Amino acid sequence: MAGIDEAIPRVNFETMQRYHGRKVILCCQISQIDNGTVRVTTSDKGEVTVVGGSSPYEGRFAEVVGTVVGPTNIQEVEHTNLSDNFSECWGRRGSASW
Amino acid sequence: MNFGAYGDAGASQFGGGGFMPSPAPGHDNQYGGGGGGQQKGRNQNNSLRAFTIRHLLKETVNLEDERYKADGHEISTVTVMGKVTSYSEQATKVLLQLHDGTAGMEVCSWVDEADMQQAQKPVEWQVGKYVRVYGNLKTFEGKRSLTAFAVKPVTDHNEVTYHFLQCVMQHLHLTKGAPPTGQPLPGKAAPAYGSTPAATAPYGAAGGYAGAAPAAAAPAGGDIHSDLKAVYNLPHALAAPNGLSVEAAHGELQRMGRAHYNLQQVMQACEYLAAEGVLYSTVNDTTFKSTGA
Repeated sequence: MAGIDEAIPRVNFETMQRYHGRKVILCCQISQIDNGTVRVTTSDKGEVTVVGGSSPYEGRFAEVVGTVVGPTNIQEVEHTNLSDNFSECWGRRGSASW
Repeated sequence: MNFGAYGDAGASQFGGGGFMPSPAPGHDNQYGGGGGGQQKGRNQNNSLRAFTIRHLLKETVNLEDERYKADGHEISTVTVMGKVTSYSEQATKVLLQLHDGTAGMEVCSWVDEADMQQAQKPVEWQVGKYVRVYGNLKTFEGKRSLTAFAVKPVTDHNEVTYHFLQCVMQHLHLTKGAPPTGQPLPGKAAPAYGSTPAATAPYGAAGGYAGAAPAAAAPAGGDIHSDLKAVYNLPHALAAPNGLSVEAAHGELQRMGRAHYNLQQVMQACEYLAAEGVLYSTVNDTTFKSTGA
């Protein structure tokens, strides 16, 4: 996933804009899957397109690790499927970014 | 929803136990006789603290004899949470590389033969899965790692969110003091822990840590006790053998933005807190130290 010293910030749609070209962690809700492209919704109601994933997305939520390649685009490195009860606070403002 | 499957890592963070170290007996405090031999090793401090990996690697200080200090307090058992990035089985141990987004770290878990044969661990600790680790910090050849005595797979990802919030809360609690008790300000509802971020300005609106807190709105005689309790629980106040004088506490309150308390009010509040068992006087009647209550 990363070198030992490498920090990978956890972002939402708003804070993702500060990390163009950098690897980030995005927890998101899956909106649509279409031919290798996944459209997701962030916790602050942003819409992001994730491309380049190889393993299947399952369930409603996922944690995506990838590189920010545009204001609404992430090039996936890997993702983790999350359980459907993820985030009782979903929809509230912001996610912790480190 | 209890994410504290081990010890006090779970719900009750403000009951005075869990991540706050127990006072050491025989070490100049009210809990033990004076002048006794000092206990070595980790038995002196039975705390469990949550850390991000970066905090554990970069911000902990080596004391002697494999003891460590973070945020001004000696640490004992720690818990971290991260994604397994590599997994390696050896004869009697399993080596994991864990990354939680802040940094990566090696975790060593000693397992007995029975566990290895049942092949439970390899299934639960797959690369790409999140796990929670409980263990002790070690340093070998200048490199820090964790020796784990428990590694639990994470099944509910809300636990990851909870863990990071717990790290932040414990760090702030230990460096800036306990937040004020939930006494309502005039015209405002008291912030409740566990309420949503949108409804609460944590550690800010009630004036616990914000320098620009609305001090004029604070009720006289009520908040001063909470503020003083926070001052006397600051790391340097707890570490000082004789605590803080009333003058020093008054200075700390001013630094916190509580400049409206005069020295006489602070003295009276200290006496009140001493009568309540929150503080005790040390070298004279105007120097106090927290009892930890």
